[in-house]
Amino acid sequence: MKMTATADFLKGLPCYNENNFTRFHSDASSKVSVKRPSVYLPTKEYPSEQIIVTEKTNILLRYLHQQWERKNKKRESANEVEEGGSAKKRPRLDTSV
Amino acid sequence: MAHNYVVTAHKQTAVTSCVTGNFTSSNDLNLIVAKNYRLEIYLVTPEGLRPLKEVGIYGKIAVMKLYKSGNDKKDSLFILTARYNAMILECSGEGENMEIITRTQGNVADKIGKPSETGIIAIIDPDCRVIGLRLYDGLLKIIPLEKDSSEIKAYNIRIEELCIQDIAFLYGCANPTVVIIHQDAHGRHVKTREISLRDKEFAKTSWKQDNVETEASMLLPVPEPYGGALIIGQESITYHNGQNYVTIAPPIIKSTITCYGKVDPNGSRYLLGDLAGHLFMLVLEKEEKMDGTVTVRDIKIELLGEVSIPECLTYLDNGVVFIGSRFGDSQLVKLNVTPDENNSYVTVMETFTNLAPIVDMTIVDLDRQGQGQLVTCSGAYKEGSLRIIRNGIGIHEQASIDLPGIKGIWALKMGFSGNQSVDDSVVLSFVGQTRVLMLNGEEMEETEIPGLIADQQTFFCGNVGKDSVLQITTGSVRLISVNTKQKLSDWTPPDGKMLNVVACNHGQVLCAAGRDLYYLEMEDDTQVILKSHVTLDYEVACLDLTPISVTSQQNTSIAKAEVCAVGLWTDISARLLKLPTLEEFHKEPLGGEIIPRSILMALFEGTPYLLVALGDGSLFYFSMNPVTKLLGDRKKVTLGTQPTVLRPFRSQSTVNVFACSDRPTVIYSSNHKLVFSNVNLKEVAHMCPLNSEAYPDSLVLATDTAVTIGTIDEIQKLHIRTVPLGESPRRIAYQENTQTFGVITSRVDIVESSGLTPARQSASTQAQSVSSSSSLGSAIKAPVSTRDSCGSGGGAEIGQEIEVYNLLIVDQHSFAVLHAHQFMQNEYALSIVSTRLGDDVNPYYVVGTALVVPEESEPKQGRIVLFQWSDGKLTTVAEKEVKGACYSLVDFNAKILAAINNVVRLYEWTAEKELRLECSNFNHIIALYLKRKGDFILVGDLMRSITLLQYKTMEGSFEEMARDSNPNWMSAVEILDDDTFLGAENSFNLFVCQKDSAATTEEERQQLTEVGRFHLGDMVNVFRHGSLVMDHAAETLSTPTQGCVLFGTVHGAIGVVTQLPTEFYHFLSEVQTRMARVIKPVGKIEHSFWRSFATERKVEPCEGFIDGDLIESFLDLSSDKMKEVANGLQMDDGSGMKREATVEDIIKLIEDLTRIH
Repeated sequence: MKMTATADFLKGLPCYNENNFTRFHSDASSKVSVKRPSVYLPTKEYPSEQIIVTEKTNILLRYLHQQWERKNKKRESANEVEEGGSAKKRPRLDTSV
Repeated sequence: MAHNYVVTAHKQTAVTSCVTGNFTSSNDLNLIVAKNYRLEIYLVTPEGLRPLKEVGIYGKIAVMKLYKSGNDKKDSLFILTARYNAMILECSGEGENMEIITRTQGNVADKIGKPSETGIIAIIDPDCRVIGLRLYDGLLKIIPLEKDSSEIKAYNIRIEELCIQDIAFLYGCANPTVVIIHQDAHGRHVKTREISLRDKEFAKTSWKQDNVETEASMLLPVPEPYGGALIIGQESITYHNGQNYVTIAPPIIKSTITCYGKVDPNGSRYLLGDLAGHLFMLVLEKEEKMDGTVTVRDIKIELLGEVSIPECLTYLDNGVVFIGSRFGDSQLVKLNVTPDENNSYVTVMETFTNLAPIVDMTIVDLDRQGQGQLVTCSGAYKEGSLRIIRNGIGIHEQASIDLPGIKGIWALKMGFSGNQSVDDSVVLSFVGQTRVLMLNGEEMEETEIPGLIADQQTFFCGNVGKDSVLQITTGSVRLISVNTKQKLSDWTPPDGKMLNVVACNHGQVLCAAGRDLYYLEMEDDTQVILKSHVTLDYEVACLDLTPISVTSQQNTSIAKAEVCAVGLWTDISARLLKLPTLEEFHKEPLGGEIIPRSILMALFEGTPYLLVALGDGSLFYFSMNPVTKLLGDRKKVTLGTQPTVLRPFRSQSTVNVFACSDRPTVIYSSNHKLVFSNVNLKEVAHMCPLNSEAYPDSLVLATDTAVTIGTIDEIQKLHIRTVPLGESPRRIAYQENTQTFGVITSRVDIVESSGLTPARQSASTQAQSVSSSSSLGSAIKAPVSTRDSCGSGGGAEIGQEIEVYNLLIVDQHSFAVLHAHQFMQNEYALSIVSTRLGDDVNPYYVVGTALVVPEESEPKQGRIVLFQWSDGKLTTVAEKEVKGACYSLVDFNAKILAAINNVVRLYEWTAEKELRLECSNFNHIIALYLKRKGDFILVGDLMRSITLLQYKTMEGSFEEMARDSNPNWMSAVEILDDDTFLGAENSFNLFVCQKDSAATTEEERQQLTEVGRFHLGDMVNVFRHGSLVMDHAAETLSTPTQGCVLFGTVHGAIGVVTQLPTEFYHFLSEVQTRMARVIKPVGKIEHSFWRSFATERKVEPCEGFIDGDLIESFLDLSSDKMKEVANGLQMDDGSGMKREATVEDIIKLIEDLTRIH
């Protein structure tokens, strides 16, 4: 297969600033970059706005709680008379884990 | 003594990640490159990439992502470290005032959980609702991106699929939805999961695809309007969005695709890079449906060309792409619409040197100047190379003439060839005469300029004004016309005085005769007029009048000097005088009895300095106040031992100073500090810059006997020369007698029906001569795979890639591959040493190998082979069959010490030229590394840390002296002194163990005590005793460091470990604590956390090591922060008395510390 003179798939490459790389010039002899950025030394204290913490709840406990709540909701809607059942069951759930 | 100082001499260069976005401002297009634990921030400009800042992170960067949330104009940078510190960074301010602000941070590690074997993956929802982290098997951690709360609660959700290859967030989903590739017993499958943020669990699977390609490993989420994802496999690429899918199996993809970069914001084109260094363009061809929706009709893939083996890549702008590499130099490449003659659409614009991975290295003094050079085995596969790393600057000789007795040299533009913009002649001054050499192309011939005085010694000669030449001799200052070559005018000192010291710039002249100083100015380009005259206190020793106004930096040819500098005899002082009045306004006594021989004012990075070189090779330097021109910050360094002459020159449009002496040095400024870099020449008496047609940007250097024209390396501290091999270098050894290096390499060959064919041309296939180990003539038969023993590939299937090992003999001067010796099929060469054995006078290369059979869990057979290189021929002198893999070889009192599987063995060389086993030591899992000192042997084990053995000469046996009982998986070991041992292990830590010979019980004596621990954050592959700096440099330093071990790392860093005396250690330890307090780390990770010894099993605080990188950053602090560090710090002033340390004391100490590397 012969290559076509130009490649359509390379046409219209994105351009954010048409000047970028237009004045790029490197010595033909040396293309190796020797420029190094200066080192940033932070000495100013900026209080952190946000801290990431991991939720302490055990994944299984969270699941059981959710399941229980759902079940409870269903039961509540089915039979609104049984109240206080949750208070009885909660401690047992916790000790079982 | 367990007081170590560890510092980076060359920062890591392997690129681990790169991203593009608007980070420093909404209008800036930035490239951010991660190199292990450093970030480099670049700005995309019309001129190319402009480096902005390097930012250190106290942790190895596992993931780096840029994202733009909501209405933000600027991107935020999310970073997750290998020790699970997450941070979100933002940038504020510009230029030097740029600040990196840690907006959000926290540690996201869980107490339990099995870290995933496929590594840490972090993904950001395209709508920036959440960040997903896959850290442990079976869990996906969700960080909700809530902007306003002060605390973000991350939580885990259970994920049924345990073995996840890749995970990504899909675009355009009402709830954050991930797509995963996971593996089970049946194969690999793709599945989507929607996350319910309210219930904190997965809600539903919207679509899935079971049994995708078995090697599918990467997911590319495709933006709207297409949506869905691309699934990249080994052989096929699939687009899937739930409704429809397209699969292609393009034959041009032969290797594994490892990275991608989105080109168009709408996701219709992607760049893909593979392990072989191919760059592809993937195009999604769209189809518009009747209802106006757009779907993917087809996937097209095109090969663009070859680049460095990419680790990551990112599209920048206007067809320019950054290719980040771990195995070779990173690149900036341009994509062209029309292919070049090789059918490549890729042009390399710029390369970024990368030493990584440094697999092995050796230190040799090739120039024989008491300074070591490092030769590293760097890179892998097609990027494999040898790198010669030298501290200092190299001069590359272009031409040379023997001419003794030169007292001065100057280049002139005489317009001989009609071109007045380049130098075309060189004026040489001798005692009692002056000669002119005309440059005619590359030739030089003696010529005469009628106007020039030829029978006197010249003190100065140079072009001045528009078209005149000024010559100053003992008797006169004269102007000569460039056009007519005739004298225009002259000035003679009154009363027949003889000039002996002069200085000149483009329009001003200073000359001294004894105590008399005359100041002259040029007028009308035709005459010099005496403007003032003073008689100084003592005789003038040296003079300078370089213009150093800060504003005139660019145009010194016009600028006029307002001050001049004078060095005097007798009272040994440097003085500054005002011009034109010659009125003294500053006097600096230099002390001592050595007269100043050369004085020079120079502008380095916008800061004016005064340099004064003395007759004993020492140099004083002062900073000059730009306005008052008063001197401050007096400092002294020793450059050589002989009188030094300072000469300015320009390189890459910056001013540098060449100090001519018996140890020539280039003085330049880096990061606003003066750096003294030695030059690879023995002695230079005089120097002048030359820019002629045949010798552009060159220097003319005069020694006692000759004149040399040469070009100079780029001005930088460490200079790196690359010798590409095109295959992976594994081990290196130096043989001084034969002036060669023995290099073990491996290359990839492809099994074909006709035999093995190299995948590409490389060093071993292009060697000047070749030989090979044949299994027929060998003592052992190469075992063949039992699966299929027929065929030429040693049992390998056709098309399979196999590794072929070679020993290359490389010339130490030209680095040409003189010979390649190919080992047997399936034979891996693992170790090499150059040594003499027994009474034999011949030096041998000894190579240890293993015969690798895929079915065997560890090699059962191997060889130790002796090679001799002489008269351009490589001969196999002897070989010895061993029962396992010979991982390491060390010369041991004219015997050979070998680590073979789990045994350390000693072989002696018999009169019959055979290796005979003398004794063995068992009790290892796999003995990987050996080091020796005297009769002591240090063994580094795969997983049982280090063991110290002693060879008992009388008994002819090994005795185990002591061992470290910690379960360290070793990557390198070294003996620091008789009792102290350094180890590097595979969780990127260093440790030091000590032998306690004085312990009371036998049990204690057999225990190596861990006395030093340090997290380096990089894997050390090799330790070598030696130094990169001149031997003499250490003598003149105030810091009492002892010993020097260099190390090379996987990420291409070179570091130094040296020992400190207790007192100094405690002082630096205090400085370190204060520095850690003053520097507010990006990401708010504590320095103590970063440097704590951390493995999967334990975390212990750093001990016995000083972090030199932190200490040396003191020099970059602002002066008030320096004061903050110094405040109240006590130091020993040498008399044993403690006193308060000043900022200057600390600067001096730390500057000296920086000079050990």
